[in-house]
Amino acid sequence: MKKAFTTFAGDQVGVRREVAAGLTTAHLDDDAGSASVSGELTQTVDGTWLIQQDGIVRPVHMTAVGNRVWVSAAMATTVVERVEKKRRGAADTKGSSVAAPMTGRIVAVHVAVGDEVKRGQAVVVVEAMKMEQPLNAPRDGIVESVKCTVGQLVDGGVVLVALAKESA
Amino acid sequence: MKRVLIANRGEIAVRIARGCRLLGVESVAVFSEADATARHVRQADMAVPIGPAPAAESYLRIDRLLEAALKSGADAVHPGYGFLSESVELAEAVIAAGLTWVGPPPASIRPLASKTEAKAIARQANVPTAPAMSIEDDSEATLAEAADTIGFPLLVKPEFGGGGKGMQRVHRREDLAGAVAAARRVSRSAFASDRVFVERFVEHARHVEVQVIADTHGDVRHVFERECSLQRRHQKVLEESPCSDLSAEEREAICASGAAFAAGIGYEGAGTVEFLFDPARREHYFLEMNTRLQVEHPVTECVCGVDLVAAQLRIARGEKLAEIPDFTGVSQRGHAIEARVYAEDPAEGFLPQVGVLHRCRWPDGPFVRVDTGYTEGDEVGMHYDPMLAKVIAWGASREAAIERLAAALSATVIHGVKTNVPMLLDLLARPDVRANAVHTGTLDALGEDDKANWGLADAPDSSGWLAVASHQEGPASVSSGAGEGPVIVEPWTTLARFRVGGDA
Repeated sequence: MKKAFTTFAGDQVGVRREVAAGLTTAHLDDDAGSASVSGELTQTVDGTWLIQQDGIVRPVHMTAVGNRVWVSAAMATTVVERVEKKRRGAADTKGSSVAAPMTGRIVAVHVAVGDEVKRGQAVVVVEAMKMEQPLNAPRDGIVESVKCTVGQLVDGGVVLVALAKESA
Repeated sequence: MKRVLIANRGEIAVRIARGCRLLGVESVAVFSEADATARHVRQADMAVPIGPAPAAESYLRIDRLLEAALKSGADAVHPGYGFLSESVELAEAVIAAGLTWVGPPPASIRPLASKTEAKAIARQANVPTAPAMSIEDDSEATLAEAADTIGFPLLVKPEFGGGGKGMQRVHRREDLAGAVAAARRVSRSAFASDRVFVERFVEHARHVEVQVIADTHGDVRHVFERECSLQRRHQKVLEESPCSDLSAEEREAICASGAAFAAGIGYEGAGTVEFLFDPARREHYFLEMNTRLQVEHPVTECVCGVDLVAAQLRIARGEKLAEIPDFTGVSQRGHAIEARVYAEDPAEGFLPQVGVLHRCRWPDGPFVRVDTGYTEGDEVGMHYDPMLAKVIAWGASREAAIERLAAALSATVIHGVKTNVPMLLDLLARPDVRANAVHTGTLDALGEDDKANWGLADAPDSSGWLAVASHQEGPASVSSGAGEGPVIVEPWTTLARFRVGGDA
C-alpha cells in the first residue's frame, strides 16, 4: 500500500492515495470537508488514462512535466502542481534547490558540482519572454548537482541546481 | 514550374507544400536552426538550412533565401504570409535571378506603400474611401472646413505614419485644433513630416475584406468576402465567411469594389482588399490591400470550394482562371469560421508561452479542418509568432459552423504550454458573438468579468480523480540528500482552485 499526503497553500487539499488489488482510492480533505473516491486506472497505448468507477469509464489526458501535471478531462484543461516534501523526521531540504520558475531557456550556468555558493548568489540565468532572469541560491551551501546546460529549454518547476544537505 | 521554394515556416509552409503536392510540384522548405526538425521541414520534399533562429538572420534574409533556391534547384518562390511576403525587394530579387515569383508583380504593389497613394488609386477605381481631407494649415477656416466636411467623430492621422502612431480620435469641434497640433508634433519627430489629414471615424465598424484573384491574362475576379471584426488590438481572433450582416446588394457592392481595386493596380495572383463597413450608414470604405495570401484564407476555401494556394501556383505558371475548374461559377455555400489557436495565456495579459508540446491532439471530424505547423513533441520557441494552429469549421448555417468549431476546440488537448482555447470557447458561447452583434472594438472593450474563464479551467467535477491520477502518473518518490541513501519523499499536490465536495 502506497501512501501520499498532500496539502497546499490557498485552497489546500490533502490527498492520501492507496492502491490495493488494482483499485486506487484517494482520500481527500481540505478545510471544507473530506471525501474518498476509488476506481480502476488504466493507461492506454496513446497515453490517455481510463478511470473506471462504478462501471463508468472516463478518459483523462494527463502529462507530467516536472512537478506539474497537465490534466484534460470533461472538455477542460487544468494544471495540477505537486510540491515534493520530505518525510516527517527527515532533515529539512526545503530551499535546497533552484527550480525554473517558468518554461524558458538556460542562458548561463554559473556554478559546477562542488562549488560553494552564498545565499542570494546567482547560479543559473534563464530566459523567458525575452527577459533574462537570474535564479539565486536559496541558502549557503555546496552545489551537489547541476541538471541543466546552456541552451537547454526547461519546463517550469524543473529543478536546475541542487545543494548538498546542510552540514550539521 | 517543377520545384517551389517556400520562404516561410509553420502552418503556412505546410499548407503550401500540400498545394505543391496537389499539382505534382516538388516543395523545398527552408529552416532556421530553431526549426531543424519542425513539421514544415518534415512535410516538404527537401529542405535547406538558412541560418540562426532569429528571423532577421534567417527567414528575413533575402540573400540566404535566394542561395537556398539556387542550391536546391528551385525554379519558383512562394513567400507565404508575414516575413517577406510583401517585400518588393524579395520579389525583384527572385525575378532577377530568373525564378518565378508566386505573387503579384512588384510594380503593381509598389504604390500601396503610401496610404495617400493607395487611397488615390481607390478613388480612381470608383472604390469608396472614408471621407478625408488634408490639413494644409492650422487656420481657423481650414479647421472649420474639415469639421464641416468630415463631421464628428473623426480621426487625425499623420500622412506618412504607421502603426497608429500620432493618430487621435476627436469627438468635439473644440478639441480639433489641439489634436492637429499634437499629431503634427508626433509626426514631425516620428516620421519626419508634419503633414496630417483628418478622416471620418467609423463607429462600431465591421472589418470586411474581399478575396481577389487575378491571372496574368487580365482576368480579375473576387472570391467573395470574409468578416474579421473580432480582433484583439488589431490581431484577428475569429474570422468567417460570409459576413452575415450584409444584404445581397451590399455584398455585391463591396465585392465589386475589391475586384475594381485589384484591377486598378494591375494585380496578379491572390490578394485581399480590406474595408471598413459602417453599419449605421451601410457604406464600405477602402482600408488597404494585402498583397499576399491571408492567414484566414481557409474560410473562403471552405465556403467557395476553391483552393487558393493551388490557384496561386497555377496562375504563377501562366494558367488562365477560366481554365481552373475551381473558379467556374463560384458561389458561397453555407458558412465557415476560423479560430486562431495561440500559445499564449489570455488570463495573464496574453503573454506568449514557450515550451514543448508534450501532448498535442488536434480535433477532426466532418467539416473540421486544422492547419498547423505543430505535432506532439514539437517545441514552441520564442523566436516566432506563437500561433499553433488554425481550426476551421464549416456548417450549413453560421450557427451550425460555430457549434462545430466549439465542439472541435473543446476536443483539442494541448499540454505543455497554455493556449487561448478557453478564451475562444468563451467567445463562441457569447450571445453577441452568436448574434454577430460585434464590431472591431468589441473584444478590447471587454471587462475583467468577461475574461473570468479565459485561463486554465477549475478542476472538473470528477476532480477527485485528478488528484489520484496526478500521483499515479508521476514519480511517487525521489532520492535526495547525499551520504544517507535515498530519502523517501512524499508527493505534495496543489490542485488549482480545487474544492473537495461536489462530485468527489
